[in-house]
Amino acid sequence: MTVELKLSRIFQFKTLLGIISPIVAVITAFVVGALVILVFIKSFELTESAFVRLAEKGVPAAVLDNLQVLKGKEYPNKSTFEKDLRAAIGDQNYAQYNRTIKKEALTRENPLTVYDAIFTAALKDRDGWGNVIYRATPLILTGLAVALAFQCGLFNIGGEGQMVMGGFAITWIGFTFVKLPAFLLIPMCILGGAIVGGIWGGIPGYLKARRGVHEVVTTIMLNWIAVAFTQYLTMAYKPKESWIPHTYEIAKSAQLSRLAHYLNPLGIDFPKSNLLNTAVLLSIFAVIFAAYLLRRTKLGYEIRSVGFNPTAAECAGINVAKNTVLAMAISGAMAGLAGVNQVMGYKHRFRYGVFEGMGFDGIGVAFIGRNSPLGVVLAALLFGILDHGGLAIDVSTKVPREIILVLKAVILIFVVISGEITKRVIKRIQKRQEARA
Amino acid sequence: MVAYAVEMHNISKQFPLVLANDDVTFTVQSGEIHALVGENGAGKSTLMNILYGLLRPESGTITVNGKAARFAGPGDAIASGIGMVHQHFMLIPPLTVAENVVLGHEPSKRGFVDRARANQTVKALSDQYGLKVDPTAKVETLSVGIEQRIEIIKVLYRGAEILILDEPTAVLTPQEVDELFEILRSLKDQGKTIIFITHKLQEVMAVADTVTVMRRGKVVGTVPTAETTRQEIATMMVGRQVLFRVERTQAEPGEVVLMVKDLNALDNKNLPALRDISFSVREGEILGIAGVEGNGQTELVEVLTGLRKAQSGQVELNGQVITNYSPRLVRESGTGHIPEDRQRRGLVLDFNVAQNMVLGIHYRKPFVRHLGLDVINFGPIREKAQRLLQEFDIRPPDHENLAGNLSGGNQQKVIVAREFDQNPKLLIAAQPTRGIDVGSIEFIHQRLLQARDNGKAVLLISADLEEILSISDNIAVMYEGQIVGTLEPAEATEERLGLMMTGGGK
Repeated sequence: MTVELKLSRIFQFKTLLGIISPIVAVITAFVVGALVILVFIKSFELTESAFVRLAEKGVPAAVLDNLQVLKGKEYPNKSTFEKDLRAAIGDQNYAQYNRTIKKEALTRENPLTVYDAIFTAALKDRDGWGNVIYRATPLILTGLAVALAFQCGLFNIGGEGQMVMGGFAITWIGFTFVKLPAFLLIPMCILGGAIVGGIWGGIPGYLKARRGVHEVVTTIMLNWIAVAFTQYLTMAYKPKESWIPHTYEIAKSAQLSRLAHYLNPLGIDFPKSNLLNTAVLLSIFAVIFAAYLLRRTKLGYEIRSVGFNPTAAECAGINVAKNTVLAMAISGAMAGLAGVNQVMGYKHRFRYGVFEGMGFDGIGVAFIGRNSPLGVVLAALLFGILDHGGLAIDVSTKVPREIILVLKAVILIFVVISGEITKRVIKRIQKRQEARA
Repeated sequence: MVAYAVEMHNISKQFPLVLANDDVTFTVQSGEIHALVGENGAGKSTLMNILYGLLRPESGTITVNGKAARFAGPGDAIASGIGMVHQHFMLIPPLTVAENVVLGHEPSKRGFVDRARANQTVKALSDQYGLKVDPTAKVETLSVGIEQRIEIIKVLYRGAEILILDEPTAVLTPQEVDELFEILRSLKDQGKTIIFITHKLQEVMAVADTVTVMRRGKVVGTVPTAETTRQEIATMMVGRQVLFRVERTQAEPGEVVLMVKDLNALDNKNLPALRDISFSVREGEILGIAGVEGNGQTELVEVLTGLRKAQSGQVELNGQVITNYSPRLVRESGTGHIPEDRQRRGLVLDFNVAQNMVLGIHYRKPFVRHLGLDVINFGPIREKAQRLLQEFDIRPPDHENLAGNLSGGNQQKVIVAREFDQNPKLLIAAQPTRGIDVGSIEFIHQRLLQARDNGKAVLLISADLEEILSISDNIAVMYEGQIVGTLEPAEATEERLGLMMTGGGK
């Protein structure tokens, strides 16, 4: 009996559609992405078969001979192709045949080969998987930051700022206390990143709780303050001889080992060049911590009740202001930890470039993951696949890597839309049920 | 032969849960001030929204100035010469008076707004009806009374001959009310017809020529004010043929539990909502607070439960001063609270029933374990929820069901169960049976009486006179933030209460 009840609860419309709607959104986004590729990505190339077709269409042999110079050359740009075409066959022939030739020379990309390239690069082997997880690691943290705040009804757009502030704190501790051993320095760095990120997140929380300033406004503004401030600090702590705007390198004892370092002695073949490092363990821990906090603790209960219904929470004696500040601070701390992967695990220095955009991607990750810790992990992995696989399409296809940005954006749009549609479908089904009852 | 400005015949309007207008016939003579009175939810606003084209009736006919009217929207109503001044003003503060008035119908000159003409027109209207409004003043600098006059000018500017005013005095000071009445009389003298919605009887007597009383979606009667008394209107407003009374024993009051002295508080607009309120509730006693809604009852409950700050005065619980304690401390001192809005204040609808059963006491043992971080202990919560689900007969008896999936009556029972189970010394029940089924109402009334018999002090705030009369041991009436009188149930008739609730004598 109870088992049956539980099962029926799992398959309630809300849960079911909650799972389905992001999946539908992702699939739709890939379809739209394919259309974008089909419509906008084109190049001109005169292949062997194009010559055959041109001859069939009655283009004189003399013109075709002149065209031989262009054979096999690829033109992503229409006007360059036209220029070379005109030079090769002369103005008169150009006027007569340029349309036919262009039509036959036009090649488009097959979106399926593009997607194939993305997924092959990302999922084919351990190296691909490792890089996907490496890229997902910081996104899990910034995504969790957004999701946690959202559970308290707050929209934390400030992941970027909290992340770079935390990231700089990690770096500063890393290159300042160089004499400390790893078992002290690494926890110190992590703690420092969490605290500074937490403070940077707590400020908008405090302003919201005490002064009623909307957190979206403050977090956005604090983003730019944080980015500008850390860039200033970067120059202040720049090694004199370096012409790249980055800070001193953190101590060896603060650097995290790559996972290959542990996996290879165990007999598991894992490339040493793979960037996956032990920071991923921190991300996993953060996910478990967030899930436990929200579901199993008094604080999580209070945060969620404030998020669902602040007036009822207030009436039940729950301190809305306190929980707002706490939720924002924990959220900021999560974002602040993204630097553990980027600095301690990868760059070993601070530079805004290695962080850029990951705080904002966290918003998308949280959205697609429907603000649940597990959902955030899945969404971050999806973004990781796109980011890493995107590198491959530059190499193996004519489609520019920027198509990944299009895909991410379209996924986000469809997640929002399908969420809204889901809501309406649920309401309609409920109404029908009520009418029947 | 009387000319009718408005004739509405056999109007019915069904809302999902209530029949808001039930075969209503309502007629207004040309050139009169016609008051439409009734308790909250009597169907006054619905009827006027139908007349103004905002709602469409299921059945019935409307005739305006002798012509059959079928309004698809307010635009049609305005075209027929009907204008409505809403309770909440729709003005744009940074614009001037004239700009606000002409908005949407601006006089133009070569494609530009002709401000000079707008100012002139507004000035002319203002002078004609004695409204005394400066057309060039910015709205944000003006008082509420003036804003209302702007709304009236707006309606006149659009050519209204019939004006509907929805509770126009609710936001005004007594001084402003007198001025408004002057304006209404001046409008009437110049041939306009005015319908005004209110529940304050002295206003009806002061300004209206005719009054129509509505109760529970029906018209009780239409009478000229010259031929009636406040007493009679009050009876029509609240009187009921059948009274449902609960079986109960005589109260045996003990020590004073709640003592309120000279309490003052402001409402959300920073206007005085409570004025020098004093009363007390003893053990084993139910004190019912009656009153038309919006006379400070909500604010009173909020102050007593720590949700609103008192400006002055004192709240004592069992001799301990708890004025302006936080909601949690008030609860800790032994107050249980059934809030008037169960979905907004009482429950977290996205939480399941078990989680809602501990809302407010979730931090206490055994519901949390202290393991560095306070960890929720699901076992005791589940047990408690399961026990209360049985004890209070909440259906379905499934503690993992979301609170939002329950019916209104069962939601209310969850709150009642939660608050009763904390064994409070004082129980504040605000509108505890609003909008729920008869079975649940009876159950909750019995529980309240049972709590009284167990020696608890119960403060019952209700707009439902029947409820107040059937279970209270003492009745206090609130009007405009004051307690205007305290009665024993034996001496309290509905007529007498109705009169007190609407600002009549003691």
